[in-house]
Amino acid sequence: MIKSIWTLCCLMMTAGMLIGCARISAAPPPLPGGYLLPAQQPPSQVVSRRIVLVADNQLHNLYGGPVPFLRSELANRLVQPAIRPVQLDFYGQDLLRWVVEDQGQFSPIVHIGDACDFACTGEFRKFREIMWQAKHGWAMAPGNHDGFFFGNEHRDATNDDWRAACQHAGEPMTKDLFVRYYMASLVLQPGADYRALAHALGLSDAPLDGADLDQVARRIPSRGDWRQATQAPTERVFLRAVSWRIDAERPWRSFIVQEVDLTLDPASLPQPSAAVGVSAKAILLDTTQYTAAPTLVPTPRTVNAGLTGELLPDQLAIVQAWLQAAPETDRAWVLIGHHPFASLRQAARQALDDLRQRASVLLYVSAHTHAGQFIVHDSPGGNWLELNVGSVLDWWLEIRTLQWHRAGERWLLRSPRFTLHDWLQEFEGVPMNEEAWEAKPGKADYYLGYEDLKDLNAHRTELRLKNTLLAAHHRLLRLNPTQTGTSPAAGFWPAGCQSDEDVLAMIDRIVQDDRLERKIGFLLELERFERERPVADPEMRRKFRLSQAIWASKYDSVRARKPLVDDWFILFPKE
Amino acid sequence: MLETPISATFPVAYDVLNRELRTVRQYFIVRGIPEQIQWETDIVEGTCIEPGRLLGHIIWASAPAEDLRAPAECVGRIEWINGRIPYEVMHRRSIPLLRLAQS
Repeated sequence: MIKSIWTLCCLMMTAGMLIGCARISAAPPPLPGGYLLPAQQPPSQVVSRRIVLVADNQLHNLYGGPVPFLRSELANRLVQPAIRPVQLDFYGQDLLRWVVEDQGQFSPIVHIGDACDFACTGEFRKFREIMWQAKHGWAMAPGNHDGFFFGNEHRDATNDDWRAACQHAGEPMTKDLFVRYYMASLVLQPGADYRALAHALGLSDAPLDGADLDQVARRIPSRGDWRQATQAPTERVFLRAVSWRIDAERPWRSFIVQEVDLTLDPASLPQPSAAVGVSAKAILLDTTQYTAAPTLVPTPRTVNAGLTGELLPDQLAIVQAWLQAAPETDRAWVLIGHHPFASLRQAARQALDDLRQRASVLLYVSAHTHAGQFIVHDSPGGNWLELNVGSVLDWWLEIRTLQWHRAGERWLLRSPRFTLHDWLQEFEGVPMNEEAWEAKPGKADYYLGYEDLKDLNAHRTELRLKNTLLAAHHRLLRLNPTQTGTSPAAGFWPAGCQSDEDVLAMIDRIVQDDRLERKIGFLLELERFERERPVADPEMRRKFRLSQAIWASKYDSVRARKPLVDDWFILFPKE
Repeated sequence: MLETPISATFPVAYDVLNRELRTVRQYFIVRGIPEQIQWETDIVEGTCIEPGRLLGHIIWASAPAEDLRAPAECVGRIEWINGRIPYEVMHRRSIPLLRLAQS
């Protein structure tokens, strides 16, 4: 208890310092006059492939046990979102899936980190199943939630809190384990470049298409440097190089750095083409590689991974070598890392700035803030630009694409920002203004039902969250009934149930049951049931799920059910 | 009213009523979305065009560039060229590429 209070005091002091720093900070530096911000695309020729940028989907294990302090309403107010509406955790990954299936059928995807939330291997497995739908390949730069407990600190994989958080979702994914799992997910991708990587690692003998992620992860060597030397004749190469180091003794020092190729084939372009001789690449840095194990409360020797990123000399040396080895052609190169530049440790900032200047890197792309923005940095060599990509889960449900063009002698960045709620409303008819779909205040599944928890007791917090999730399942089933005529003996029904009515009644009973494990056990059954049961109207269920994610994200952003400033219509109550 | 039949055969169609050259959604559902529509250097606002005129090229990531020509009845002076083409949604909706002035 004393330890918890001390931790709380330290966190409040840290939060106070951060708020204080924000208030006294100077106006941001301006973009130099040489940059222009045209409203229309000037005459230009494309010189790179388009990539989709997505970040911070925070796939969260819904079936964990209580996590003291970190999963409490108080922590939620002090650190990065510790508790989201359960609807956002439950339905939110449908948003990522939609992006991958829609945009991933045309362009490669670069994920800028925080695929997971607690950092569990089971969370990563589910994430990888979604990304598997990307038809042109995907790669990611690790985020602090992809190898550190709840995005903040390193703990031993045997730590009770972390194991409780990862209950029913594999095991705690320390940073070394993340590198293994991510490498396995690269090896299991279907493209020629990924197959070449598998071959180089001696893994092409296995029937990888059906291989288990855990099995392949175990076979990943503890270090390696791979480069796809030549363009495959029949298939495009996206992943060009990857280097990784796995340090099981000091997991926080493990890293993975990648080079992805965005160069267009000049042969496919009308001549003369500005793309001839242009090298368009992105280097995906690992800003979650630390000198010392990150801690929840920063000390003079340590940082909190959620507040600060770091890059160590061994990773930087690899990137320097890649940049030096690249032919001296026109370079449209981008550095991509999870942490914003300003959140990196001083030495990492200096190193990255040095890399940027020496290799004429055009742009640094980051994520982590969940609120997309452009950031200008001052530098002795001239002010420069960072593109920060917002979260696909937290409002404004953002994705961007990125592509380079040549406009005469100048580089032109084309990077439109899209907000998913607008797209889903326009293209999918979501939300459909179905009044019964939305959880209103006073209902058991009201989005922010936990807002009034104000409870340091993690067990009570989880009980209420699980009840809210059960109520969300109740609404989902009520409004999206199982196909009529299905057999009561079908295998998808939860134990003891033979109809929707049985399931709804069982939910009501489990809500009244105070045993947390009983609730978690039935929620796991409900998840399987939801995955396997045939519904009367699959299209309606798809829209229902997306609308739940949109509304939960929207109301979470303002911490209540209320209009946002850009809402057009408000229907008033009957007089 | 679209003069050219909506099919996967043509990437663009001319909307006579609104005098707009528009992308055909079905075409891009089948082919995928392009990297860029690159206009010929002389295709600017004020240029007069006629059916068959080479307007530009549709650039694909994994296939040779495709000529983009003015379809039947697309004749007149270009009044407006779309400078913010949302390629990312070409499989979702028809996009106006340019509009001709009223004759």
